[in-house]
Amino acid sequence: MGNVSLQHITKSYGTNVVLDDLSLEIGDGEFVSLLGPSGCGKTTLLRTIAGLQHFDAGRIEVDGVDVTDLPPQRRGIGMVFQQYSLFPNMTVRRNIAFPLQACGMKSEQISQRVDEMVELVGLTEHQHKRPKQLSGGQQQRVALARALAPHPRMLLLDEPLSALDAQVRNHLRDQIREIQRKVGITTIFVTHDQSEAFALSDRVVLMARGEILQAAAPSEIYARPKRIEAARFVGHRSEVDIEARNGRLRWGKVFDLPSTFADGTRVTCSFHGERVRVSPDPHSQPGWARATVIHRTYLGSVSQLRLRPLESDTEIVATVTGTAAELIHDDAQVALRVDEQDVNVYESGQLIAAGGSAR
Amino acid sequence: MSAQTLSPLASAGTTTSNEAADSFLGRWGALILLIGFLGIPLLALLVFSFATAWSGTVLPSGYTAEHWIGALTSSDVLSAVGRSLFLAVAVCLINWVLVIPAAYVSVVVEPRIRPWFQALSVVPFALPWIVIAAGMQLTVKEIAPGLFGTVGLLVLTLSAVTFPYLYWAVENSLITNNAKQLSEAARMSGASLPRTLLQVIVPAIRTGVMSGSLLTAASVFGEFPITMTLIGGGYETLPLWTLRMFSGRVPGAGAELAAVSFATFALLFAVSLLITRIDTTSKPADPVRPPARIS
Repeated sequence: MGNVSLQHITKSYGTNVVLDDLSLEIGDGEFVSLLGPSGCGKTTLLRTIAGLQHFDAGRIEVDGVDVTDLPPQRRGIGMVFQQYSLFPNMTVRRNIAFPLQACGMKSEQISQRVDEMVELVGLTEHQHKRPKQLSGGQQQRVALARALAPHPRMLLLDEPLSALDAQVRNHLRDQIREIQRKVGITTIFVTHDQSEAFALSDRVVLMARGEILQAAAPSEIYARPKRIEAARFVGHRSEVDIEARNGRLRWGKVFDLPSTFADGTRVTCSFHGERVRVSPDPHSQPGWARATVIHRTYLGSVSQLRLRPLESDTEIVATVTGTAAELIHDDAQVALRVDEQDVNVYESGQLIAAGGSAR
Repeated sequence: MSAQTLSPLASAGTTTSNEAADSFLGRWGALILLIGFLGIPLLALLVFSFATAWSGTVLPSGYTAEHWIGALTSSDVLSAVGRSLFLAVAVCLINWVLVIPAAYVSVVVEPRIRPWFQALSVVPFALPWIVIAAGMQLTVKEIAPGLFGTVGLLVLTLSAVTFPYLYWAVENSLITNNAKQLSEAARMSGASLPRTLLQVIVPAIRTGVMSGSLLTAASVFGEFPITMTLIGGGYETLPLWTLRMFSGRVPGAGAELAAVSFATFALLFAVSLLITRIDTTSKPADPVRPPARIS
């Protein structure tokens, strides 16, 4: 069990609206990420669900029961914090046992459950140490074990990976997903890192300015963001303002889409950097546009190019992989093309058409 | 070899040794000065407490332990020490019960009231304690005459004037130990407020509680004007005994006074060291189990 229903949650600090009439349904066993830039309200929403944050209006139900006025300790929710928040005076075992003692479990059962949890998070060797004797990743695993020990109805993770270095972060990210699947617990994960959200989640809730921009599967959020603000946050997209003419949306030779917009209608076309096809030889592809490389940024497995098509002032970003990237340098001329199915079309900030199906 | 012909390596070596000397002076010089400044009067006090007579010479003309034996076996001294200890313990207990929860509320629950607590905790430093004592006397006379002139009133007044020592130490400790986050983690673990306070917060801030309590106890131990104003000689604490010894001009009392003063200092210093020791040794935590021996 662990269905969550958030209904019209509103929270303001004076005139600053932090959560704006926000509603969301989360299913049993689902892994949902709240993704968004700093200050979008994702942590406030998580703390509201936990009961650590008062809100002005709305209702929260867990498994059909109204928990809006329940204190945090009576909601049956486990939580992992960004800064671990382990109890420094207690060993790993005592930290994990703490919530079990608080709910009045018998000592033999506590001992058995703690054994299970230290094994689940792979800390059997370190169970008699105190938090200060553990690395950041190990401390966060203890925090996860402590949160899961009393069989909570739901698990809340407040940017649990952001204080860790990259290697540990990736390892722990995979471990969190594995444990969540094994335990089958409904999980809400707050992050500003889209790769973390995509890697972990069944569903991503994209937030901005206290509202939900879109709640969908990671692949849908990535490929078809419903609002231009969402498109700007996810991946490395480029935007071009185009005027419809003669039933087409055309940007030089870069792309050319069929459209049913009235002539003169202005729309915004958006496409991902890795969907831009780039050829190092500007003359190799006759139908393609030619562009100048403003700057190449080498990122290891890929390189990012800032390009300016000839006869245009608009810069776009392209992500290229493999040996092609090594042949391209600053100020070089390249050929480029974006396929029509890779272009999303927005009018007044809303997704109107995706790819070749422009209205 | 002249200085001009020194190789770069040799020059570097000279510079390094100069830096080492500077560092040594910088590190130890200040410490030696501080020890001298504080230590010489204490040493003089200690020597005086063992002196048979010390007048007109650099060092005493003879030494004896009689003043120490006399002071430490005197029923007056023991009673005064007992009263002062009772006051110190009672005041610490009252302050623990009132100040620790208050500091917790101001840091964790309602940070908006923190400036009020901070302003309040400046009052005992801004007002002379004798004025506070007189104010308490006047107030109690009106609203609770039964308390007038009692040890209870003395304990309450001393608690009121010494609470900032504990408050500042506890508040600082709560902030540096992220008490808000620990408290939230405890609540999310299902703990009630008393369990959170007793099992999580107080152990986490124990160093602050101990150092604040030491300051409180030390200031109560040496407190004179409030006791004199509220009770007078009827409840002779160690400072009042000291006053009697001074004003009575009792022969040999000076040396006994020195012995008691030094013993009081030594006691507080030892407790202070103990607190520091507890703080530094408790961090590494549980014994890490030694690796199994391979036979």
